[in-house]
Order: sequence, then C-alpha cells, then structure tokens
Amino acid sequence: MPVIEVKGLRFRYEGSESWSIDGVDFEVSEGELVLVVGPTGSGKSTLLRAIVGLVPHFYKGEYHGSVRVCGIDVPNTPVHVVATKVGMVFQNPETQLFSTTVEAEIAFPLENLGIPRSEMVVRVEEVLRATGMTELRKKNPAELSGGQKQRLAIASILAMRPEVLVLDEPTSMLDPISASEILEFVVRYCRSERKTLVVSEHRLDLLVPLVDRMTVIKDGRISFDGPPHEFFLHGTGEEFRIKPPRVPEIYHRVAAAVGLERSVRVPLTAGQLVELVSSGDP
Amino acid sequence: MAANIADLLRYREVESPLIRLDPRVKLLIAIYLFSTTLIFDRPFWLSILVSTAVLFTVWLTLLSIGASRRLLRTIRALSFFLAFVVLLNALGFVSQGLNPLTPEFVAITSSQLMRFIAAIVSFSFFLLTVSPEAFAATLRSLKLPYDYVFAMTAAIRFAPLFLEEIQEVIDSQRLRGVDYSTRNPIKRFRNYVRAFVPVVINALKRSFEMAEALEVKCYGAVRDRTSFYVLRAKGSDVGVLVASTAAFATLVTLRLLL
Repeated sequence: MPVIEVKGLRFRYEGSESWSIDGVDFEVSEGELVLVVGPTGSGKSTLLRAIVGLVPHFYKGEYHGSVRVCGIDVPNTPVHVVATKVGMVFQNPETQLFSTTVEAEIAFPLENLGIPRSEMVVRVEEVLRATGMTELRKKNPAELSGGQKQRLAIASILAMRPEVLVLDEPTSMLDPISASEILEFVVRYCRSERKTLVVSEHRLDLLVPLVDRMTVIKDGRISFDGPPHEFFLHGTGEEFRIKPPRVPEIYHRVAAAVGLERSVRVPLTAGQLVELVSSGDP
Repeated sequence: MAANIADLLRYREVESPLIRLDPRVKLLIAIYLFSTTLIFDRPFWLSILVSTAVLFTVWLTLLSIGASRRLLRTIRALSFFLAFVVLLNALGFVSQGLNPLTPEFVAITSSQLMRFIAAIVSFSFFLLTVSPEAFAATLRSLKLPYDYVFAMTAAIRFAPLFLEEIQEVIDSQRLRGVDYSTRNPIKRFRNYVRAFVPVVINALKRSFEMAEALEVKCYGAVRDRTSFYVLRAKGSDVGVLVASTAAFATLVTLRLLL
C-alpha cells in the first residue's frame, strides 16, 4: 500500500495565472527512495510542499485533487499533524535552525509537540548518535559548517520520528564534499530504518545510483516516472534541462562514437560502467 | 562595524563556576548591581565610588571567564550616549545661567557618567554569562509567554546573521563604487538607504523561509509546550543568592543611614 498518494493534483499560487502543478498523479510505497528532478520552476518544490501540507495551508491558491500521506488527508489536516508523519527539510539550513545549541535544536520540534522531557532526552540522544553529532551537542549552530548545519536541520526533523522524509534540494547551498556526505547519510539512514524518502536534487551524480525511482517533472506535469537507468536509456535528459550524471553521459557518447548498440541497463556508476565494459556486452 | 556588533552578541561557552551559576541568581545579582548604582546618587564622590566598585565587580567576574574585553567594547559602544549625557548636563548648566567649565560641573557630570556606565554594564553580568538557552529558560521561569521568549532567543540567534548580511551588502556595494566613507552626511545617508533596500528584501525572504520551517517543526502545535532545558537550583546557587541578597540589604541599610 502506498504511503504517499497524490491524485489529480492541480495547484496555482494566489495571484498566479499558470498552474504550478497541473494534473499530477504520484504514488510512493513504504521504504521507497524517490528522486524528483526537473528544471527550476517546473513544480518540484510545489509537489513536495503539497505532500507535507504547506500547500494549501501555508501557500494559498487554487487547489484541486487529493493528497494522502500515511492515511492522512493532507489538505484537510493541519501541517503540524502531517509533520509528525512527514518530515521536511529545505534548501537553506540557516533559516531552519532556531536554537543556540545543537541538542536544543533537535529538541525544538519535540518541545513544540509537548513531548515529555524524559522522552525528549531519549530521542535527542538517539538522533545525536544516528547523525554522528554527539560531540557537537553543546555547539552553537552558528559555529557549524554548512554541511553540519544541514545535517542538524535533518536531525531535528528525525527527532519527530517521521515515516516519510521529504527533502527539497538539501545540498544546493553546500560544497560537493558536504553534499555527498549529506546525501549518503540520508540514503543510508532511510535504507536502515526503512523510511520513505522523496528528495528533489540537481546533483544527479550523487543520487541517481542510490535511489529506486526517478520522477521527472516539467511544466507542472510528470514526464517520466521509473527506475533511473530506464530514464537514461534513450538519452541524458538534456531535453528536460537536467544536467546528466557523468557516467550515463560518457556511456552514451562512447556508444555513439563507436556505433555500439545501447545496453538495456545503462550504467549509473563508474563501477557499473567498468563491469559492463569488462563483460564485453555493451 | 556590523561584524563587531555581531561578535558582541555571540555567547561563548567556557568552563567556569560563574557560567554554571543558576541564571536566575545571576539575573538577581545584575538587578542588585543596577539598583545599587541608582540608590547611591549623592554625594557625587560616593556615587562615583559605588559606581566604580560596581564596574570593578562586573569587570572582575567577566575577567574570570575571559570576557573582560567585550565589556570594554560595550563601554566604547556607549560613547555616543555618554557624549549626549555631557551635552545635556552642559545645556542644563547654561540654561540656569551657570558656567559649565567649573569643578562642580565636572564632578556632577563624572558622577552621572559613571552611574550611567555602571547601570548599563551591570546587566552584562547576566547577558554575557548566560547562554541564550539559559536566558530563555529564565524568562520562561518568570512565566513570560513563550512567543515573546522565542522572539528574543530567535533575535539572539539571527542578529549576527542579519548583521553579517548587512556587511555583505555594504561590501558588495563598495565594490560597485558606493562611497560609505564620504564626509558629506546627506550623501552618506543616501548611500546607506541604497544598502537598506536589499537588506530589507533579504530579511523578508528569510523570514518567509523561517515561517515555513517553523510550520514543519510544529511551532504552536500544542498549548502546553514542554522544555528540554529545565533550571534546577543547587546548594551553591542558594549560597550565592543568600550572600548577594545580604550584601545588597547591607548597602540599602547603609544608604538609608547616610
């Protein structure tokens, strides 16, 4: 049974004439890792905000269709109720951290939910350990690096023990090393805890090999929804203004240059490419 | 300049008995120090003596946590207000037909300046030695509504960021030829207005992002919000409280007898 069910979703922001999301049907199963891609303004962020309920509760506008997450009817449920099931992390870590120590930041949503202190202490310890931030617990978030700040933003959401994690371009303000560390951590965490992940991201090199599914959005509509290797079978996604990952790009260029018939399973990592070449079956 | 102010607002955790002292006791001591400077208003030599003693006490305590330099910078930041006090006093003398260039003017003004500095600095005892979390817990223990407490702690958290952003805008406009060091005050004001617009736009954008993040962190979800940090007074806190209250009571008695 899907944990996220979006049916016929159409939404346009107040004062806007065009639809940001224009008839989207989208389902995600429990434990699935989904990468949402598309050019800027394609409707990715709107879709993610509709999953957590910021659309239509925080962002007003014309809304049609239905969104159900973990059995909750999202448009008819307050955001703080949905947020206990769906944790959302945004691009800029600076505007997501409100406390002056790492542990206080992790406890902040728990305080807001009125969780008893004894339970809070347990959850803060648990999240500090899971995110590798135990040593930083007394640090002021202002003194952390960009990657650590985003890790903290994720940690404070994880303290609510959500079933679904929604990340909206979480690495757009990070350097490549921090970005890779954050994404690897999130994927590892979701796999080990069997959490569902929906992430929008422009750095496809890092995520494409790690996710189960890739959903491509263009002009508010889903243009492709399936395994990443299928998407890169016939091209590299340039028609969607997507910067392709290096490995499928190299594979296609080499295949075109030497006139090889393309493989059904396009390699997404350097390891897969080497394996394919060594097998002699490109 | 913005970076200097940001540095003043930044709390630094150090290991010290003063830092470990219950923030409510520290607040009370700050109030005692402040009140002492207020009640010893005359004669001028006594008020200077008491204010100097208050200043010295605050300086010594901050020295113990390595924050004495920040105290000096706070006093330097007050220079505009100090000049204003001198000006007001001089005008007061002149309006009464008195000459401000007399030992009496110097004595009264010095006493007022010292009291003003000591009164302001007395709260440094609390503000520079209490973490923002402990500060929030103190305000909550005073039964202040959480919205106000949150506004204050968020201001502490975001003020340095905001000031850094102002500095960035000013620097980027300097690189585009805007002169912030011009001696012409009107031109200077207009240049600062030019910096003001992007700063306000950025602040609005940032506040919108913050509001969104607060929504998903369930801010305001329940009326009975719980707290991760809970203040618990120890025996040493009670000891300091009793000693400081006794010292203050003695000073009040002395003042009444003098």
